[in-house]
Amino acid sequence: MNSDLGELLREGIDRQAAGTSLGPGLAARAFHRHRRRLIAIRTATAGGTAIVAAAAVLAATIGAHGAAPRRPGESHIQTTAYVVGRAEQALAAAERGNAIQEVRAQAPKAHGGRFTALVMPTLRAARQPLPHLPDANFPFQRFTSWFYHGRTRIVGYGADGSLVFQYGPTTTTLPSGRQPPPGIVAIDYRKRLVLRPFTVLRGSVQPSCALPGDFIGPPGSIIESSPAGWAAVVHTALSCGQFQVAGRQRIDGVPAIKLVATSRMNRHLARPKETLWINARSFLPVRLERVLRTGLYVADFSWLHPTPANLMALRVSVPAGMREVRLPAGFVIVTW
Amino acid sequence: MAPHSTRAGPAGGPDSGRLDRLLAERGNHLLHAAMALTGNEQDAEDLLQAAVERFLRRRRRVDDLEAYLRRILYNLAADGWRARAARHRSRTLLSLPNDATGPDPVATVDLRDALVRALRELPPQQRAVLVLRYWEQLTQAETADLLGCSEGAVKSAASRGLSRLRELTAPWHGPQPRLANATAKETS
Repeated sequence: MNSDLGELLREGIDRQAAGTSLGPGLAARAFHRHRRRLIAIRTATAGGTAIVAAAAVLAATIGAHGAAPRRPGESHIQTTAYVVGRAEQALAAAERGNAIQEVRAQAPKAHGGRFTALVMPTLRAARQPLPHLPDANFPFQRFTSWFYHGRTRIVGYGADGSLVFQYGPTTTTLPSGRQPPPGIVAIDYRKRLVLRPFTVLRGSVQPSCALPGDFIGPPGSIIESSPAGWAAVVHTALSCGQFQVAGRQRIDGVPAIKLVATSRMNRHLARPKETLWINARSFLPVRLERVLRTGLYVADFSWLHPTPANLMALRVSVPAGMREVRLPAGFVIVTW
Repeated sequence: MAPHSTRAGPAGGPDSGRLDRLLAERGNHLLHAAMALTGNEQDAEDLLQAAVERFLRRRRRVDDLEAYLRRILYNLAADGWRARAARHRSRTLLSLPNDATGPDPVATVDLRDALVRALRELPPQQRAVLVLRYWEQLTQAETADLLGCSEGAVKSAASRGLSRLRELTAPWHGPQPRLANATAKETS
């Protein structure tokens, strides 16, 4: 039995690891952190204490006015490192389930003024003969999405504010025991169609430093292509050293630390200018702004306690009178 | 004066090329080991990075870089590296089968997946022992040497770990043909 169980465990680990590979830059990041540690030790042994140094850095980072003042000789690495470290901790806690991530965004005007969600088969499903399906692409001008424990709900609105599209599970419970997996549906309010079921891609794309400079991906990454949710994507971008502290601002009345990504820090591609504001108290993202060639893209973040009432935000209610379209196995939604 | 030099860093020094080459050639294997130990890619990269950082702090020259790095990796994991976070995550994940009242009909979640998820529920040392014994396929003696403990401790940890895995994956025992075979073997 032990060898059988061990063999199954080995196969399971292999399966879990399949398709994952180590991105570049790990050694450089380790060295960077190692060097920061040495700097801290040197600072401490040079007459102060590491704690005092850290407090000074924090005070400089979240100073009351504008950009963080930097004293001559003060290491900017420490300043950014402190803020990024706290943000990483906060995002890791959110990913572990301490918070439901809510994102609101509007399509840039020059982006065609809209997002598009498209129903399509996975590569495996596409190998089978597919039945005729209604044209299923959903344009929408702005959206609100929620993400929690691998489950995503997105609600798309038209230019006039009307509800045009919705995607997500119809239940808030996770699959367990005799329960069937949660039914994931997409609703086309204009054609009054409900499409189901959708496949949840597990671990399809994991954010990593190796991803192209467009770290947040197209707006559609909020659905399946970013299974860990934006928290993980932003977490990775911070861990990869893609942001630097640039001051302090209030965002909708919330004290926030401003971080900017510059082309110097993102050497892989000429990236759009990205600015991230994180809450100065919780260190969770408040707003992400990207200056694209096609316009300004702004995503606002909220973080909700996973109370039963808030978890209801993850559930899609299918209105009466909709025509149901059954999809073959292996269909997903992608958006851009 | 700095407590130790940075000569081993990837930015320069005699070992930087070796480290880069090792990560290029064996990085995926080390990452997969770290994934088995932590349960997900993000934590796995963090664990591997922590191991590399620990490697950079060393004061003596190392001949077998991979063995050294692997030793650090497993020992960090066995020492409960980020144990609190891992426990939190595993509790969340494992509440699913524990709540089960019967066989799980979700076809995508089979016993192998369940075992990998259950692995995260184990204490760090048992997890490290099981990964070394059944994934890396090391002997008891090799595992004991790598973790710096006795063979008896390895044997005991492996036995307790497997028992716990069996308990945690009990809801999968019914409908899975491979498990049915395994159960039959156990009782025979």
